[in-house]
Amino acid sequence: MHYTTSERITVGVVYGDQRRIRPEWFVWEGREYRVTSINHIWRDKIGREALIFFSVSDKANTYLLCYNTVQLEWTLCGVEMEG
Amino acid sequence: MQGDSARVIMHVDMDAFFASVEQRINPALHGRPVVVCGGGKRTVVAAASYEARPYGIKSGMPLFEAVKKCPDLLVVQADIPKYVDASLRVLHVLQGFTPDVEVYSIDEAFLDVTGSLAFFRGAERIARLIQEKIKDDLGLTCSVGIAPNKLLAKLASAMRKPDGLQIIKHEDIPSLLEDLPVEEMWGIGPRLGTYLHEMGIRTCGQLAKIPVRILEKRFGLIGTMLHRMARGMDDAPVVPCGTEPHARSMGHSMTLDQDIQGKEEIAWYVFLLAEMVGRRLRSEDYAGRTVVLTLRYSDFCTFSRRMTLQRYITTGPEIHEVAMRILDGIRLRDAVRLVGVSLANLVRGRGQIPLFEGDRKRTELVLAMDRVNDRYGEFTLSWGPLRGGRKDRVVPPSWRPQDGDINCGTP
Repeated sequence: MHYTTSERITVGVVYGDQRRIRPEWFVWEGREYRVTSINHIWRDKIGREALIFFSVSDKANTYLLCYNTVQLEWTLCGVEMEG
Repeated sequence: MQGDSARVIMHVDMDAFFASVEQRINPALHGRPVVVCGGGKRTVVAAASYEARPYGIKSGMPLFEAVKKCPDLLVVQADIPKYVDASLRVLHVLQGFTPDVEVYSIDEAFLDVTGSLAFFRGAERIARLIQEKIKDDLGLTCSVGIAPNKLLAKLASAMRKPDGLQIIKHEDIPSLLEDLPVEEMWGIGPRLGTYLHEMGIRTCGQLAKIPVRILEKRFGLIGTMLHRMARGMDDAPVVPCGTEPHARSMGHSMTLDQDIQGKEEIAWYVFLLAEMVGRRLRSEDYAGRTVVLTLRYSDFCTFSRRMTLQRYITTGPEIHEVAMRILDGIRLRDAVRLVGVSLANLVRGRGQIPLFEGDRKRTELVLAMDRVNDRYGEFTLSWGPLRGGRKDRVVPPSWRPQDGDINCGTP
């Protein structure tokens, strides 16, 4: 089941070598979710604002996170729940 | 240009590209029949996953038909930025093996690896390394064809899909082409195939036996090309990314949510498409003077009408005005299901310098709108009649990377 949203969230990120960004956990509605895998990463732009999208999974579901590199904001854009 | 005997050409074709990207992004789609399609109500399948293909689902099929064939089909709406990003990352991988990479479309590329063979110890090894690197970096598979020219390399990549590698050597060409149906050759579409069938020609072997003068008499210049194609001959060079010749035309088309009878309603879509064309023209510094309006009736009969101006134009309202003059001259015999607008006779860097104040102000207004839309996104600021205009993005067949796109690594 797909759930679309657009909620500002707090994300714990590791900035690694080769300028790579890796979300490790995020807090959504007061609950912490641990990222167990990053499925895919892609970039987009809205006007001049560069966005980086991360499809990540925890043990149960898949989440779409977006990092706005200009506003320095993280947004939860969608959740794909199993079943 | 080098002759075929000296060249080693590779064709890299991403497997079910859009669908594979979606399966990668959402693991719940993995191993299941998936199609990617446009956003309209009467959209067609843009890509079908390999799990959907046994049901007879293929690209270009209307979505309702695909769902009928496979009721469990998972339908994903196309999200172009994902595919553009993946395509640029694939291009980045390919350019690690040779600078001679031609982007043929968003999911296909030709490589001339002749100069890289010694460095990477052979074409087959290059192909394996490319497949491995794309799999490692993007989690996607591709099929690779290796041959002495582009025509045969494209044929080869289609022979072993998905995740395949096929090599066509010089000595294999005659036997390979002998029984190959003519429609399987790149460049011979259904219509040309039908003409050939009417002449009793079904295979490339049969085509090769027809004297060239007969083919030329029947098909003109295409006859000469057919004669060469049937022998597996093709001198076309790989045109490296960034050195492509200038565009000859630019356009957009749209299948409407429902068939439309009235010209007033059609006019809105013509304006929207004209504005999209104008934005693209100006962003690439083109101007054009031939406006082409394409309409498709509900029975799929499609036709185009064109009008050529004395002056070059670049803006949506200008293109719209000419397209409306064309539309006014058409007596519609049926409801319209598709509208297309394009501009041809293009030149670069030659927008008309307005002489009169009114024209100058209009030009300045358009440039100011461009700056706003460049900064805040498409259709942030637009013309009154286009309120609520198209926000989703499309990939024209002529999609090529823009300056600054290339060499972007993984974020």
